[in-house]
Amino acid sequence: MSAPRLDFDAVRRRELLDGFSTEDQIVVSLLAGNETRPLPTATPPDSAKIVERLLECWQILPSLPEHIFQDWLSQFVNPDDHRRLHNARLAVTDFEKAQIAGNRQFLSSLAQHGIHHTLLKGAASACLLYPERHMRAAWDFDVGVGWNDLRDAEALALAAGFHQAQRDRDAPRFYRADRRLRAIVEESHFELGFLVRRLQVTNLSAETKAAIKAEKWCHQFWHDADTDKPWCYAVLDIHHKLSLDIGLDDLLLTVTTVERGGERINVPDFAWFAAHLIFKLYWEGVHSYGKGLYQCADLVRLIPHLDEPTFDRLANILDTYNLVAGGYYAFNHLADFGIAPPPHIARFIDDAQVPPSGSDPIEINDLGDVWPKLWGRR
Amino acid sequence: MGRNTVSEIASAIVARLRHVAPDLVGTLAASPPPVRRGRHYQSPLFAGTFAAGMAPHFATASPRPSARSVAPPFSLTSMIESIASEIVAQLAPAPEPQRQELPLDTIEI
Repeated sequence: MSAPRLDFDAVRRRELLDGFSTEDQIVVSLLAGNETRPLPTATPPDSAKIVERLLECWQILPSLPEHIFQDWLSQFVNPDDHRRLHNARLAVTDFEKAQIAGNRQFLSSLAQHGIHHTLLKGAASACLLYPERHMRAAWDFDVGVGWNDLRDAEALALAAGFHQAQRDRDAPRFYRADRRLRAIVEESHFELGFLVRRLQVTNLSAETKAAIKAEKWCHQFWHDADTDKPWCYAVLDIHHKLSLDIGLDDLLLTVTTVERGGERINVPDFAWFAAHLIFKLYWEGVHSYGKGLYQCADLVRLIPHLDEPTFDRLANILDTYNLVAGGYYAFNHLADFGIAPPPHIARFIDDAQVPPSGSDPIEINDLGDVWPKLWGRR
Repeated sequence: MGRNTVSEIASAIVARLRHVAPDLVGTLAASPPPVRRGRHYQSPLFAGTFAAGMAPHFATASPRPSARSVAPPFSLTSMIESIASEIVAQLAPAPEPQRQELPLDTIEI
């Protein structure tokens, strides 16, 4: 489960990173989550820009190793900014722990009632790719079930303390759902509307409470932050598809169980997990600017798990769902993180770099390179 | 003419209006919100019509219904007025849903 080693010499050899500011090179290094060397600092990094980027990638804050966070990062950010990041890291870490605790009873109920299910997206990444589940944070806790089990799963969620809810348009708050609105959303979507719990964590440390209180950025996660009893939401998304075009049945056939913290947890196999990650990283990334960069941290950590048979299955899935171009653009940037792709992935990159003769870019879902967009560049 | 039927006809007309005459829909929707009158919603836009030609079975203070008055005689005028009133009610902006905070659960992490 160790992360690939980041080789900054290799990174420097890549021309793709030439246009990157020192701040962004620091973020690349932290996304890769590995030992780092001092960076070339011809231009001293702008502390505020590093903070901005890292807060955009808040999902990875809990994964940053202590020595990198305390020693390495403090070289590049001023003490006030480092304190801000420290506070954010504490707040996000305990927010994610609350998500895990808040969903525990529901997952247990699914298993007890024999409902075939799997974690998806960030919740699955946390189990598959990080040493501890709370190290990969996410807004939502995503679970997939078959269409026939959807209503039973929802009933179990409601029994486990979740409520049908809707998000406030102007604030990060949830209220009991307007049933008509919810029906409209669910009719045209591939998941149930929000299922939400409001949680007060009774054993938050004094340090975390102080961090939440001090850092305004944290107030999107923690409410009543200026009191001694901040609370947060746990948001559950139950999917019956991965997207409007990609069903869940084939993924559910591959579900395996892993043990994390004494719990048995259902996750997709690495081929389907990787396909879903590429879909999200590429498809959401090319349709918006500056969204989803944090998922590169998952991609980098996924590579050691993609042996040749697994990767062959992944390539078949990408081919079936017309996502080969997305796979190419995702894997082609491994080198930017100092990762040399294994030969079978290098072959895929080589084969996929030239689109099929006579193909139309739109027909093959080739909307260009996602990399600049992930960084918000136009 | 049952209430549901009136409502369904109004819904169909509203849906069609939104396609063919969005400006009219906007104008009607901007009119003052309907006020409740008896069992029926009535917009001030149609108040005059109602006052002048309201069928007996729409009267607010109607006598105790007898077997006969439960099923009032068919009246085209009152049906049209009823549909018109319903349309205005449906076009009126929906009231802000009441925001109900979720209950607070305690957990340990």
